[in-house]
Formats: sequence, structure tokens, C-alpha cells
Amino acid sequence: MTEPAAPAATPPPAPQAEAPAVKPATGPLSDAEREQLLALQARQATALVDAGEAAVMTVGEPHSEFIYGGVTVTADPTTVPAHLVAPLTAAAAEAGVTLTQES
Amino acid sequence: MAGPPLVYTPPNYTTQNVLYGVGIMFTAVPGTALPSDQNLGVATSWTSLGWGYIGATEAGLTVTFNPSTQDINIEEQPTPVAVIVNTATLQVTCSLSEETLTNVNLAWGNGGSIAVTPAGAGQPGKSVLTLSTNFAAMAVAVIGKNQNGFARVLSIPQVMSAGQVQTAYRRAAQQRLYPLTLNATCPFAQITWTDLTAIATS
Repeated sequence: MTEPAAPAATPPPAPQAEAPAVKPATGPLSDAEREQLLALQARQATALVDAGEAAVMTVGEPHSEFIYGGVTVTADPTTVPAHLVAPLTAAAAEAGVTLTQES
Repeated sequence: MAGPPLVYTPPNYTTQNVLYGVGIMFTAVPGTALPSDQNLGVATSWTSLGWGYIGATEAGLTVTFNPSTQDINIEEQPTPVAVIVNTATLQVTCSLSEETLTNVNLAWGNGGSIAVTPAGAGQPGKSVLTLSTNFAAMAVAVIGKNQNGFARVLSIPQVMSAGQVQTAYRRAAQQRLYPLTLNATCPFAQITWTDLTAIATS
């Protein structure tokens, strides 16, 4: 009776090349980084709206922007902190501007 | 027999710690995130997160911390046995040189709103600042360069703009200025100084 063949020795794992050290970026953002940042901010804004910590508002014609308390609401859907919805609405009413809350 | 010689050896001082240079001030809605540590000195990192730059000033920024104290005295001793902070104010002041509606509003309490109407047929483009005495809180950050050449950031999470604003309209004597007085209204423990001391190791 022959003995079962010994399992083939597995080859030693190839030495892994050391990952190149990532240099911290400095200076202004590149176009790609800016796009990535905008995407992350959009994702964060959606998460905040879903969590009830932010709301989406738009400004109605004939206005294109409404600025209050450091927040700018545009004709495009704009994410604003939830605690600013009431003061924004009141300020808009005082100024004769139509603001619509979309969520 | 004479004792050991009397030596006078004053400590060394560090001239590199003597700092000067302008401070850069940003304001934002309270709760706005600060840039990452890596990007504290990068202006676009602040503006992309929603911070607004106040622009040029007449004579830079001034940060004033002013505690008023109460002495606790006893009859048996002429000096107080304790000195307790009764009230404390922290103010950031400057004179805004850039006359924009945003800066006018900032100096006048930050309670107003600006409605922008684009140009259209028969309608010139315009921006209207509607004032209000319901002053709005904001966050403020003052950035300066430290002795390492990196950013040093004073962050005050909540301030209110409440100061006398007097603007002179002169033919040639001076620019129109908007004095800005920001008073801290948050707990003192929420105010931080962040000093970048070395670049990341990887």
C-alpha cells in the first residue's frame, strides 16, 4: 500500500511590495478633489435632511437668491439647517420674498 | 572666608515666538464644520464648507478678553484671599473696509436679509438688504500664522454682532468703514485655539 502523496507544499507568499507612503495633500484643492468634496457634501446634506437636521428650500421668482444668517437659498433646491427654517421664513416674509420648503 | 560667587543668569528668550501679521476672519452659521486639520490654513477649504471671509479691514483684527473679577476679602488681611471671575467678555473687533451688503449686514447685527433679483426684461439686477433688530448668532474663526509658519485658529462657536456702527462718507479723507464688534455668547469652554505644530508623518 502506497502512502498518500504528501500535499504539495504551498509556495511561500510573495513578499508584498510596501505600499508607497501617501503624502498629505497641501495647497488648494484640485478639480477632482473639489468634485469629490461637493459629492461628499451632497451626501452629507441628504443624510442631514433624512435625519431631520436640515431642510431643503428654494426661493421663488422674481428673486434668484435669498441670504439670511449666513445661509444663501437659491432657486435651486438648497439645504439649510433645520433650526434656520423658521427665521429664514420669517425674514423672507418681512422682505417680501417667497421661500418654499421642499422637505 | 568668602562664600560662592553670586551669579546673575537670566533665562533665554525666544525671538521666534514673537509673532506679528494679519489675522483672517471667517464667519458662518453656528454649527458649521471646520476644515480638517490638514486644511486649516487653506482658504478655499473654509469657503467650500460655507464659511464667509470678511475681506479687507482698515487696521486688522483685535481680540479682546476682558474678565471682571470680584475680590474676596477678610478683615485680617489687606490682600484678597481669592479673586473670582464675576463676568467675562470676549470680543473680536475690526473695521470692515469692503462695503458689501453682506458686510453691512454683518456689522449691523447680522439680523437682516438680502434678496437678490437677477436682471430681466425691464428689470435691472438688484440686491436689497432688509434690516432687522432680531440679531442672528454666528460662528467665527480667526486664523493667523504661528511660529512654525502653520495655521493657528481661534474658534468661537457662537458670537453676536452688537456694536455701534458709524460710517463716514468722505470725499477723499478716508474710505467708508463699518466697525464690527462680535461678542462671544457661547460657554467659555467651547472656545478653542488650535495650533498646527508639525506636518503629518504619512
